[in-house]
Amino acid sequence: MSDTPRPLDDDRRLIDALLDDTLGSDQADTVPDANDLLARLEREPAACDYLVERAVLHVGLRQLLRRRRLADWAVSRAQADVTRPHDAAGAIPRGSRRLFEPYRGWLAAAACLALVVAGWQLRSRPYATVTTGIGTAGLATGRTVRGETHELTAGVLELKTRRGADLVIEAPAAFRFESPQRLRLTKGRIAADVPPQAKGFTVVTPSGEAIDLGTRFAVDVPASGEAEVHVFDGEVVAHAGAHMPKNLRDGEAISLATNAARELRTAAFIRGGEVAELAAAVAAGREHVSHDAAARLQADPALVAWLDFEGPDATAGARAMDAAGGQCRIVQGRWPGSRAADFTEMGDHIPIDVGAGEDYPQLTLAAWVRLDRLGAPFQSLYHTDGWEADNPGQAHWMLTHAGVMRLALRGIKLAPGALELQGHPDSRSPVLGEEGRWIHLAAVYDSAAKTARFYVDGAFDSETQLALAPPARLGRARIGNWNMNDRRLSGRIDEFFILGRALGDDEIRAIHASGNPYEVVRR
Amino acid sequence: MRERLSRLWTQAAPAVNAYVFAAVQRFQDAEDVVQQVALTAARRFEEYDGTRPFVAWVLWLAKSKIIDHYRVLGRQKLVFSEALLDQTAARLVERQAADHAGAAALERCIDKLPAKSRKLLDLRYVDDASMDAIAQAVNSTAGSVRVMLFRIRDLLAACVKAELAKEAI
Repeated sequence: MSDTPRPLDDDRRLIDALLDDTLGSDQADTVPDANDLLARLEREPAACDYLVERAVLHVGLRQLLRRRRLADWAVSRAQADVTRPHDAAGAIPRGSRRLFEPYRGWLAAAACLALVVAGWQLRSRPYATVTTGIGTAGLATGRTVRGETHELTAGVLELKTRRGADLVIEAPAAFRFESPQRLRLTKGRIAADVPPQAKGFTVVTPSGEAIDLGTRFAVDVPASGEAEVHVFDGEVVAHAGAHMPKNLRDGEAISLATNAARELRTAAFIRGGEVAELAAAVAAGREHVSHDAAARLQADPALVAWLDFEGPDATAGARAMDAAGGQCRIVQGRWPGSRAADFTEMGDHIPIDVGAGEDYPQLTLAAWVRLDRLGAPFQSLYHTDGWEADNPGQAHWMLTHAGVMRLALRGIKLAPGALELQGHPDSRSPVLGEEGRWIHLAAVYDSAAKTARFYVDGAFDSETQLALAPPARLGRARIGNWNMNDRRLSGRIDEFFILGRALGDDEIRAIHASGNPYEVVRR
Repeated sequence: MRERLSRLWTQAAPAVNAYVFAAVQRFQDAEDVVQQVALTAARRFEEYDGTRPFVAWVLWLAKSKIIDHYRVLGRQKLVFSEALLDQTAARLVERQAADHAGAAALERCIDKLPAKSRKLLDLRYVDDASMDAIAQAVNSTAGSVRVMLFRIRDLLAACVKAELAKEAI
């Protein structure tokens, strides 16, 4: 220690003042002092080392404490969460909600990943290593995992097992490795990419187990309800209780407890390629940019409805859900610890009753969605209930079987020469990819300009000209499944909003750019 | 390629953040500059020579963004010389490997702090409050807040060091 001279205490104080941006605010520090300090930093390695160590500490504190504040905020409104999803969706009336409520210390700690060591930790080789941890502070990148039980309350975890299987586990989840080849998952979602050398890798759930035969597959274990196995590629043996083991091949999915076939849900799972992009965005602080932008939108005087599924303080939403018997699952949204609505069952929907009795000459509908490609004719985003001939302006927003976005309004008529064959404004481009990822969709209606405009991921897609365009009307409506027949929805919705004005190209581009979970840079 | 860049960026981000913050000091300014660096790294990723450490390349990009930032601000700010920027970058490249473990250790150390210290840290790092505003919030003076923060950071630095030493055993 005596060989490397420590910077004088005075310099340490000055360096701290420099980083606190208070240099010169004390009468003792003068500008010549500051310039002398810079000269010494250049000349004396110990001083420069100290600067670097302190800067690392400063930015570490900034990131960690900001993340905690977010997690704190998420948890404070998540108590009802997974076990009582019906109370959890929040229809927030005109942006009055505060995003950040400070200082709920112990809750914040609980929101970060809680690590429970069950029994004595074996001093064996690790079963797996964390390759990427997004918002999983206790299981940061590079950490090794053995036989402990892990409770993941927020974030996404990517692991590589000793035999090379790549696993992505999404919160809320609880899991424990029984061996490098056996993972017990008591809740949560896991996607596995299993190379030949790890063939036989098994996910054990409370309702049964899935044994890999060289493949890419996923398992969904909800907090209440039946576990499902989905096979994207290759082959898996599903085995539960008294049932005969069942072989599943690409594109197949079943409920483990009942052996009943299910629809394949790719959007339900985060897969390897997506993790790096999400991690980069979070590392770049994008979730804060996103929250700030959402807060601004909620303050828009033209806001009619805002649903981000974050708040038990959204009692209006909870009541509406109870009265109308809505149902959906609340799962993780685009950011670690945030929330979104997940529609998995045939009848899953959220009732919403806003804007009744008003005429909206202009209307914008927008949401972040993560959807599956379904065989059903329509994926229903927002459908008003009053679609009657004598009630012009009722709005239906959906995706069609061709994967394009449609904004149908009762009583509109397309202008002559329109390309659409079914009489409703449609986007030109299909909006869904092969695999479910988060995308941003927006439709803008303007009765005076007689146009319907479509936007996909912030980019203008197309405009449909109208000959007849009554003002839009809302009222009782549903997000998600509207009837049990051809208006279904499978996937997640986050930050759904209705605005009683027409957003412009730049505004929609900005909303997408600030909320995009795959974006590292600010455009 | 996009995935590779994302992975590399994630690893390098702590060093880039620290580098830019050291040279620019104010968090919001630093975060803007880091965004610029990310944008440039994405645009020029093809130029990156994969045989060299990615973090060194990104810090080199960051250096010119910092200098641009100084230029915009003119003389109102302390300006690091090029030599000092180079030295700081070199030190960050050397110490990069320790960062991920450091973050987990820092988290444990924060939990050991008394509530009042955590409140000071929250005001300073989450709320971006000025020393005067912090002083008002905790019923103290700006001078003593500066001293308290200095001591808390000393405590944390020592604690992180001890935690990492524990892990190394």
